[in-house]
Amino acid sequence: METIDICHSGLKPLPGRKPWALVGVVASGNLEVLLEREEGDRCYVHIETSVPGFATVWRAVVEDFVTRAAPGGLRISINDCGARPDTVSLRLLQGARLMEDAP
Amino acid sequence: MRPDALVATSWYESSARERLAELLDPGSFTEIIPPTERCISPHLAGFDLPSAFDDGIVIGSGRLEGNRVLVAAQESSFLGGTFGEVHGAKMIGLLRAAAGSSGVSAVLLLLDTGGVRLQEANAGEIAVGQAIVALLEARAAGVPVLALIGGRAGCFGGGGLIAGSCSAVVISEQGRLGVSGPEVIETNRGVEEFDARDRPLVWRITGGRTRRLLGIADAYVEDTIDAFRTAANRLLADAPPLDLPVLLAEHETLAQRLAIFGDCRDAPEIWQLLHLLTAVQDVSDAAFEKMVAGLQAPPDGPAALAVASQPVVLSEMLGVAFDWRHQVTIDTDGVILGNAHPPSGVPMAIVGLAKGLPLGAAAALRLSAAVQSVMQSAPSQPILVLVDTEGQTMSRGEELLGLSQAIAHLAKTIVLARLSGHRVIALLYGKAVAAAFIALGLVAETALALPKADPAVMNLAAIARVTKLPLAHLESMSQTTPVFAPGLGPMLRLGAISEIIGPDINLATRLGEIFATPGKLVANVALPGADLARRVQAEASRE
Amino acid sequence: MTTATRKVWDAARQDRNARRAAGAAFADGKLVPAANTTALLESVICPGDRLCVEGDNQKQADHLAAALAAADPAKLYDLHIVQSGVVLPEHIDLFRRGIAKKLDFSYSGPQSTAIARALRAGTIELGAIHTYLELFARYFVDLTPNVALIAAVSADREGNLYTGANTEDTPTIVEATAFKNGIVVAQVNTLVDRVPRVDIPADQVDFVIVAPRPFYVEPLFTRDPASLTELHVLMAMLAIRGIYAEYGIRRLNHGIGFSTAAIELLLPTYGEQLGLKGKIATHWALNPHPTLIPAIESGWVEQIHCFGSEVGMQDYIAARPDIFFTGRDGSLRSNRALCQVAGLYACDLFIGSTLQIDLAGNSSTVLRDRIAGFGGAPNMGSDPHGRRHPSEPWLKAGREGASEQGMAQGRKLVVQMVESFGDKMAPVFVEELDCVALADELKLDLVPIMIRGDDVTHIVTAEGIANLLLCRTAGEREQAIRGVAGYTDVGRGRDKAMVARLRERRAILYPEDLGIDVLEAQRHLLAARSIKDLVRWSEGLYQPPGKFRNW
Repeated sequence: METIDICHSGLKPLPGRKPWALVGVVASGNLEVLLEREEGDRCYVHIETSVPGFATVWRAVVEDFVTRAAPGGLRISINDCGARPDTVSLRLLQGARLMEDAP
Repeated sequence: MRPDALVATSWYESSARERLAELLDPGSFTEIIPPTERCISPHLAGFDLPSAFDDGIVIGSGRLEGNRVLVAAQESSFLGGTFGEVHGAKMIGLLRAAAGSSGVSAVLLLLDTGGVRLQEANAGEIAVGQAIVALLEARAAGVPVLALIGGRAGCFGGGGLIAGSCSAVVISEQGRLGVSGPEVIETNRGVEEFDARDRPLVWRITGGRTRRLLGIADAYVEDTIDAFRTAANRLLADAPPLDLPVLLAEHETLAQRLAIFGDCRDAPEIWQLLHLLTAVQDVSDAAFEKMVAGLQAPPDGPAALAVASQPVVLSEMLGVAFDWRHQVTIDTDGVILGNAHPPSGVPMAIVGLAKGLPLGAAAALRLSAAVQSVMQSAPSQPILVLVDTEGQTMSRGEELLGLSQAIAHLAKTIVLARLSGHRVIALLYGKAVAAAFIALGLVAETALALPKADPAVMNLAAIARVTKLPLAHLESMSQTTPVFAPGLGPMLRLGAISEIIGPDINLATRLGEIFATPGKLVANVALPGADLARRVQAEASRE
Repeated sequence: MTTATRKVWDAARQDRNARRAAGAAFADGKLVPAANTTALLESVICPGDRLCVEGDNQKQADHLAAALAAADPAKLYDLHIVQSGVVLPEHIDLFRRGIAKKLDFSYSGPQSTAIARALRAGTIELGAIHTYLELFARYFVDLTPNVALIAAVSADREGNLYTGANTEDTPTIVEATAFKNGIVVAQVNTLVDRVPRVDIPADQVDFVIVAPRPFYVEPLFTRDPASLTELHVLMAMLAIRGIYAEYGIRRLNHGIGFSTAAIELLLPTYGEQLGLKGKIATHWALNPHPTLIPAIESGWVEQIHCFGSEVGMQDYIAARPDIFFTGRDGSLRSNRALCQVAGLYACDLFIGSTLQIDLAGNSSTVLRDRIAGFGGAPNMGSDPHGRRHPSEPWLKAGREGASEQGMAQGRKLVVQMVESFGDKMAPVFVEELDCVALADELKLDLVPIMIRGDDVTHIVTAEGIANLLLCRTAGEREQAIRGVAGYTDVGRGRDKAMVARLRERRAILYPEDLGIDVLEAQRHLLAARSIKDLVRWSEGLYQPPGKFRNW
């Protein structure tokens, strides 16, 4: 297992009021993403992955997500079981969309 | 033309969370220990495996047609929906809350599991036993518990016993139900016994239609969440209570099934005996339901043949001194029946399984009958369960006829005896493996062991095969973590066994003391996940 | 002229007659008991012969292959195997045991690792890896078999053969062998009084053997809709909107793969929503993919010609003769050679998948230790310069790809549809294809490229579509490819400014450029989400093989 922590700050707050959301499942080639709202303008991402050696790719995926979704005030926790980057990217966007729903 | 089924949500395809969201009244679900609590397995990291924030089970409360229900849904995408310490504790706490709190109209278990999680096998095995006890306590308290089965993992291992303990089972065509999964049987008995890759065969033996035809499931539904909800509502309306008459009737049914279909090795032989003319897998869901409704009762089977048995001397069988007078016999299946008389006080009933033999349906039924007869004739008589068994019988024929239900029947009988005031204590003196260990040992009030006892969920070599971890690695891990290592020591440390009775202690005298002091042994035991189970129980008991 | 110097003009025919006579010792008329198979083969095959052991990509003359592999290497050696598919372990055994020496083939599938190993060890002397059409063509020029061992469903006593739905390569192999003094030996599943239809006439068949078991057919073209992910759905939406609708593709071929299966399953749902019915995907050169059933049932498909068949589709096909090519007996008639020609010349679009793509758009399914061969993809996935009939999609692609001056000409659309990472996070987009190093190591004259970069017109990934027709320089092509290569090293190495310019020119299209919301790509858009759904769509006519059932 490898742990990766990424933090972006100075972000616009993610719209919506839902306190937390969970998307995906921990299954081969998939991941679960837990999104929780918190104070501040940061987007903090904590990743635990079963496939080590891809920290650069994770950083690139998260950077794109931050650009596309402006997820300020969000703490994101990921349990990854070898999901491909496109899947990760999709789950992050799905999670952000869910958070925009009513609580 | 676009099939109607496509418009509805498939149960098989949905995740545990999706099933709950659509099964319950809209917006009514409240999760207990949600993922934000990060209540993850403490053991998986040691195996370099990722955890899940809910440990593969979603529990909580919600409403079904306005009635408050407690629910647990297993997520089979995560490690096959298996029972680990946290996973098990969540289910146990929920079931205990059902028994203890008012206002709960039912419990729905959305089972989707391969059984016990091998990486935390002992904790999982103990949890299954505890869950069965809690489930039956809920039923005895008048709260029906339903099993809904139609997911990717099916419902195997301990899951099969839990399903068999429920008030009723709803199943779809995709659903599978059994004790030993096809892969396990193939690994142990060879591909000739069960070719696990022959999917049509797998479904003929364990699949929803076969289960419904034999009455192992109580409702057969189309693979939609809607259909499961409708069936659940219907079955809850007249769920059977848990009492002795119900168990006696179930015994009769199971015995009849064995007598009529006992020689069958594949579903078509059953269809023939039921006078079904078309291949059951080829008809539509609607036609299948008609088929079930129109089933002709098969002719009565022959009376069970008497099984040869012979008397046995306990001190010889157990290898320790046992100085009470006793009349005990063992039959050719290894079934132990009899009683022992202390110098003073009430006699003790003795049942069990000897010689390391496997537990099949016939043996499970004879053991159940013996306990049921004690319940009828000798209220509050203590019962000693002797355990030396290599586990459930692994065979295609036994699985076809629903071994899970027969073993669950035995577990139910033992738990009902406990609830009716009998002290039931297990004594492990040889092997104690898998489902047989659960039904004979882990649902008893407690288990004692002789030093030579060797309990296990699965041996390390088999765990190495399944988990694809090197045997040497597992052996070194088993030195430090009791949660998956086979053997007496780990089970003692985890509390599944409360006491080892050494050679310097007189077994009969010690048993006499134990039966005379209710509850003392179990009070000291802290089972894995006990704190979490208590927390869940407290939260689920809040209205 | 004296008789001593007189040229003999029928030596090969005399040789054939002598072989037939030798084989007759093991036969009763044309019928040979299965137990005599090896003896028969030893008598009609000679060392050094060119031999075809029918191995198509689905149907296998497995009994004959096993019997040949059991032959005495002292009697049969130095054979030159000329067959499209080398997929059975017995095919490799022929080389391991010294019975065969040289190999010309097209496709290896499950034996791809064994072939690479045998090439390294020198047990196989490689002629060439062909496309199907090339190999079939060479049957009639310089690789004509001396003996062909073929498979059919049934035979009558005269030797008329019924191949059933999996006709595949058989007519082509027999045509080349029987009419050029060769011997044709057929294994059949059953002997009947009268075959349902004559696929191969008796006078082209020398010996018939009833095999102990029916010949093996692999269900190669079944993709379980349950395995399709949201990303497959997304790529399928991109392809339908950005290519099928954009060019108005009606005549096409699909490779095997999950993303193309997703396209097939989106036609009756997403395609319908876009109002594309009747405007795209009406005429196909395609195996009978079960995932096409919903589109057929919804009235999207006008006709399909097939290379082979697919396990479990027989009853469905027989009940849909308006769509498929069927015999008077009602069952499917497939023909690989003719369908390959159809794919090459009569289709406006080929779309398929691959394992690696380089910066020039070259693609390959060869990995370091595997030689999978080409099959038919390079035939269909190439721009046929000999095409002379116009069609709107072809002309539009031609206009997009044309340089400033020059005469108007058309262009076939050749689309590669890939996920940017494959198994075990292996990147699909690479700087150099593995097959380059492999060709070097094995001293191959040609690098085994499957589809050449200059034939590829579009690359579709979950990130977007690269339209290579609109790229004017090698540098632009490279950046267009990098621009859809996702998070691979190649993708992250993009020149962002150039990618932005290419996007303005629509040489790169991202989902939002096509009005697609990524989050709308969900599995419920699929017209079938399980094999069972396909059975329902087919009204019970599709009978999936056991490995695809969960009931």
